[in-house]
Amino acid sequence: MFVALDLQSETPIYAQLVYQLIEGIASGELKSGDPLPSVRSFAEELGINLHTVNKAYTLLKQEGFLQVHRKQGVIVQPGRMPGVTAEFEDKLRHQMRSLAAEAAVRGMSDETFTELCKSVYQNTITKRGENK
Amino acid sequence: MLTNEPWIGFAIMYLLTTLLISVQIYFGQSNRLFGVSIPTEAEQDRVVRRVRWHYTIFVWVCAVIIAGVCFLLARQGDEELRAVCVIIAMLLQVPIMIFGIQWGRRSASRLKEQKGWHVPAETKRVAMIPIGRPRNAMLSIWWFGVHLAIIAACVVIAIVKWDQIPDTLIAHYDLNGVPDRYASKTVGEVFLTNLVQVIMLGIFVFINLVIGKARNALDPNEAEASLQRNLKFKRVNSIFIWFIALVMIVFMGLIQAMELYGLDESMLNSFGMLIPVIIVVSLLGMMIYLKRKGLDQQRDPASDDERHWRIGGGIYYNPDDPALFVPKRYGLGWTINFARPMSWVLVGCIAGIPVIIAVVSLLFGK
Repeated sequence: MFVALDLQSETPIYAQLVYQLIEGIASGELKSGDPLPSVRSFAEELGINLHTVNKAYTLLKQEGFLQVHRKQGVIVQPGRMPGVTAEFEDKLRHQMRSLAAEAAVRGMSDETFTELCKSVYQNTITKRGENK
Repeated sequence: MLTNEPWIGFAIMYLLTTLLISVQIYFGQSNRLFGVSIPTEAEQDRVVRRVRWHYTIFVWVCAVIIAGVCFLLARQGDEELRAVCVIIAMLLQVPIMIFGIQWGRRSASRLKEQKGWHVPAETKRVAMIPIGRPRNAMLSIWWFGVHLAIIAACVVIAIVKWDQIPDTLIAHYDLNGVPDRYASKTVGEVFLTNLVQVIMLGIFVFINLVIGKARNALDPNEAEASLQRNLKFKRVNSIFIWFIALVMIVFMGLIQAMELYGLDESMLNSFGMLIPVIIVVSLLGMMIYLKRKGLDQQRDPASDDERHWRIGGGIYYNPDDPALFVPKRYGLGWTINFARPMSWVLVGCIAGIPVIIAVVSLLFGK
């Protein structure tokens, strides 16, 4: 699986990394228990700072998407993925509110908005990358 | 008696290294002119080609002048002067190359300024997370078992034939392949060559390992294709390393055989000449192969920015890049990131190897 970053993007690099790894898990490219590169080698391959990769891994570990083993290194959560928590729902609502508001102001109907949401969701779990 | 053979050998060697130095700038990324980024559409411009062509002519003119002076001096002087001439001629190739490249670099920068070319730095990065078994491009360490077996064979033969080994051994040959220093038969002296073989093999295995670990320079615009190119590029390099290691170790085995069992000494002359020729010719062969397959187009976005290439573009210094090994800015191969402390350790080790070999031969030699 390829991870692509844009250093000039508004989204911070660590966040891009977090999103891409979660997308990889969602699409099934990364499966439960799959090993991920070590912080050092991942940073080397991308040519970015070690701390950036470390930050992304730490966040994903805290959320429960990754596990860090002493022997196996970093792996995709082999057990249950974190479920839908109240915090996540809050975050989702918060992020969607700004998008919904802009869609409404631009005159997009709620059907179209819902359709779009649905197709993005489905694309994410079937064909990765097409909704970008 | 002076034979002409070694001098023909030196002449061939001189021609080959000049050839290598003069054509090296035609290999590697085509959107680089002496390490200066140029727009892709300008790659085949007449002015761009002329900068490269001038360098090639410069190298050859210098080589011919030096060879001519050496030839005139050597014809009049004695043996010692001839040897000095050969060594100086060979060594002079380094400053000529450095000067030529710096000259080319200046011309390239001036041309870029005149034409107002602007090449934006790549802001995208791609890396691959290997799924399943990682794709390793390099020959596995087991391939070097062949070399180890040859070294073992050399040792076993020496043990079996111990009684036939003469009490006085030839320790050193002069430029004409005539023995000029002798040593007595000791365990250290007999097996010294094998020790050097093992050290050499270790270095080659280490290089093979390091190249395998080096970052894959992936182009964000064509990740999969550039990954394939990278892996093939590494594999070809690995095969080359394996081959050169084999040639060197067999060569040292033959030297040992001549020393110990009195194999025909005239063979040494031909082999001594043949080895550098084999190395340079196979290096050229590899370079041409890589170029024809388009594998020399390795673009590494992370080390792409010209700011990080110091001292005439020859030294890579980028504290933001965690990689120790990065593709060279021009030519083929890898260089080190001097912003990593490990690079200094490595340079120290490389500088230390000849010292270690010298110490080892002092300790065991006599």
